[in-house]
Amino acid sequence: MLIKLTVNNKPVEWDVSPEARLIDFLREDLNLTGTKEGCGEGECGACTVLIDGKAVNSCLVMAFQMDGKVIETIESVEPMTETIKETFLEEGAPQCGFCMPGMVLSAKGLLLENETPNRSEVKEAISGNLCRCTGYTTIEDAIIKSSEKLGGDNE
Amino acid sequence: MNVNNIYKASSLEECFPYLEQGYKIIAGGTDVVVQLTEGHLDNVSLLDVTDVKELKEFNVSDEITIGAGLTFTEVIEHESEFPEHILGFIESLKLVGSPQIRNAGTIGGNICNGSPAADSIPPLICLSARLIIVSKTGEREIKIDDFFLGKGKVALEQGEMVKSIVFSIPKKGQLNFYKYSLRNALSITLGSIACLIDVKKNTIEDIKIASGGFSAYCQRENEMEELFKGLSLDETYSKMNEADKIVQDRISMFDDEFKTMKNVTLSGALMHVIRG
Repeated sequence: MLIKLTVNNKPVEWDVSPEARLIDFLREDLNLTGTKEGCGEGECGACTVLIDGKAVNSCLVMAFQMDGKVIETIESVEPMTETIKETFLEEGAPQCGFCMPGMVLSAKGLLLENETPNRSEVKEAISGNLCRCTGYTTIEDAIIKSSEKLGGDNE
Repeated sequence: MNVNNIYKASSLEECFPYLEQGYKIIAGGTDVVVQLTEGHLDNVSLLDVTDVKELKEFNVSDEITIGAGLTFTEVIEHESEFPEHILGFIESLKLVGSPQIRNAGTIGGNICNGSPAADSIPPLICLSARLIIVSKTGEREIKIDDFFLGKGKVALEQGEMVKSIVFSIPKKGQLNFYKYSLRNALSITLGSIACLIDVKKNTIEDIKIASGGFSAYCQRENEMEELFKGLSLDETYSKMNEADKIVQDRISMFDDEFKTMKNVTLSGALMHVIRG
């Protein structure tokens, strides 16, 4: 099926396979391999992308459903996303890095709706993203720091 | 995975020919895609309904109407329009999966998937919700209590789909929901209890109880209601063993590793919803 959508601010037209999930389409058709597949059943959040500004597991939706949608992945160079990525690095949030693309997009999904999240709102926003290295503290710090840099005042 | 044909519908009218051909409805995908990747669904054609505007209705008057295509997040965003005494329903939605699952998964999908662990169903049973079912030939209504036929089996004929969920706002009582799972986020429900309870002068005047996770599907618990009706709140403690007995036979049918935990779960959840 031919779908038209926006991926990282670029218009894309693609004849997608009926069997492709969004993550398959992103990684295999568009070569956007920054999005990672962890569990394949929505339990780890590694594959999180934004669909129309909302964090969604790209392993749990089909590519053909994305006709007309606006998708953002970790490859996005949109300024707000870049700020969040830089802050994650500054705070030492990544260790192995596998959960990072999902974490960054969940963080952005939160900050789009709530410019000044408190720590419990941050924890809730990344409750669908598993990280087995860091214990989450540096990730939470990075998200709060990002919100400050982006103009929010949360303390 | 073997998907034959796909179609993305943008209106209800457009869905009917595909439903009649046996297309499987996909909305948020959070259940259907897992069933596809795990091979439980094979050789299917998929009908996407996420952009069907008729399924996105939300209306509050004496009754509340919730479009089947609204995501959990979209329903939660209407929280302020719900009267305070039934916010237990919104609580149940906030406990679904994770933010990502709530952003994609729909209330209609949660109901039609017919899982015994569906979080939104026990509160809707307590609210005596009805489902509006549509097909090419028109609309019909069914009580949510009568919709579940077995694990994953619901009373939908080929060509039909659920359009919305409707319930009257109860005049009295407080709706409470409690769910046990192994951790907070991303954990399947071990057992859940919803309860619409009306307490006057420390006595339970009226009570409606519904459970999830204690049998093949979510169901009303009439026997438990009889157990607690008319008691003072303190007297309810002494009835927990009897409540356990009611679900004992059903629990013994489960062959999962959580079987022994379900008894503890039931009394714990009951305490929470009755005492508030």
